[in-house]
Amino acid sequence: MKVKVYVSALILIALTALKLLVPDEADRLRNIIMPEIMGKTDFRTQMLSLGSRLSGGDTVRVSEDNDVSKSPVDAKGGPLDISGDFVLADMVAENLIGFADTNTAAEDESSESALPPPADDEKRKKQAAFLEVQSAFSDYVIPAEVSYDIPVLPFEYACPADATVSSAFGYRVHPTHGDVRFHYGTDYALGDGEEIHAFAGGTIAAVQRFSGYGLTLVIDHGNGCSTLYAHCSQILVEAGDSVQLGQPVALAGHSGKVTGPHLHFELEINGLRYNPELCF
Amino acid sequence: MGFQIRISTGFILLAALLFFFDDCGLIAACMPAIAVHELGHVLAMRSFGVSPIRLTADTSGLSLDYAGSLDSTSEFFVALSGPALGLMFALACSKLGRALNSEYLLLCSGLGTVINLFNLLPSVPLDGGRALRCLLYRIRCGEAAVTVLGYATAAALISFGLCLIARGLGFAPFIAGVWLLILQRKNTCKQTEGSVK
Repeated sequence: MKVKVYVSALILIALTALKLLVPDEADRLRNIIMPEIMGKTDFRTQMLSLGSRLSGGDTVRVSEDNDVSKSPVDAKGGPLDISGDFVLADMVAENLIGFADTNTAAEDESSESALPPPADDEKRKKQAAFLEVQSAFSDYVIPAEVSYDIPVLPFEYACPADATVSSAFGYRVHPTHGDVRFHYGTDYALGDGEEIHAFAGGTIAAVQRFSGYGLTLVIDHGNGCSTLYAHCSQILVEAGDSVQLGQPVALAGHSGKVTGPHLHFELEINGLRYNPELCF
Repeated sequence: MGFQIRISTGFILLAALLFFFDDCGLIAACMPAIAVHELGHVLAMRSFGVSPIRLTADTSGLSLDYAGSLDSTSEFFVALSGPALGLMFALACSKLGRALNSEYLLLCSGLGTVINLFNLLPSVPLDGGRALRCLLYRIRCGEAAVTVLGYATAAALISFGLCLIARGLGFAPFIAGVWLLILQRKNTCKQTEGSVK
């Protein structure tokens, strides 16, 4: 009888030690044992949302990088095969038509712009290059709440960081975990304390601290568009403030689960996450 | 006073596995919710004149045994006091968590809600089942009804769990259903013991 208690206690100590002393190994072991459909991040997000909604709050808007299973998952729209040239050309052509229509409308409205808008060609080239990189991950489904289209916005905007892109939007081999995950935003190489500017004019929707995203800022630009700035060291504004395009709104940092300081920037239009690099 | 705490080896193993597989602090957020739930039971027991003498932690969860006897009405209220206080605590954590922007409190709230609502299921080892048993105590086929409902709830949870698995939505409800089913067998044996989960 006592032997059972000792053996159980030993197993408890061993597993705890494993988890605390070699967390990366433990993480890999966990990923092997737990079937991929056990979305641990989703469960946590669901609990957070439930906790928030219980007293009338909003659903918590967090999406950590998703673990993508080795076998393709059938999403609502079905897997999108973007590996063929023919399909690629179609997608680009479709976007071209849509972009051309709305671009002329936007030009009529705007009286002055911060920068001359880049030629359509440049954005299309960037998109083609992006799609080619993503075609290496053609086994994986594009997540439901994501769009690979060139974002079309009815207002002026500018890049939030005066820095190079350190990690692009879309599927990538995760820098620390080594597996394939979907990156819902673009990472800019900003050091601690460097300024982050508002992508466009709008209202501060949220200033919140998350365990994965760290200190995070969300700006609502209207027209169904919002932007998110994560891993900040300091936020210079408060929820509810009005901000202008280019206004310094936060300082970059390394809060949350990161390896080094950078700005993680997300662009959402009508519930879909777009590739921010396709804006510029 | 002689308050006993009994921890079974199964509980230790279960705790070890849960702790190992939890990498987002869910276990730490469960603890206040579970503590307040048990406190609810204890406070109700005290108010009805009995006192808890033993806390048992095994694979069926936590249960409190008490000295003295309770009639079915009192036991009904004692059984429901755990989930009641637990849900009030979850609401408080939710409000405070939003006000302070605390992830931990929001997690406490979400988990507390799930744990306490689950405990209200009409299946005998759970508080809901116990409360139901007290209600049907005087009815002739009451005990049989409680047993049938217990199995039915477990079966429903398993089917629901299978539906979710088929859609790739995780298998927590399925595991909960299987666990509940196993507990049905365990509980048909010990019906006269005075205890609440």
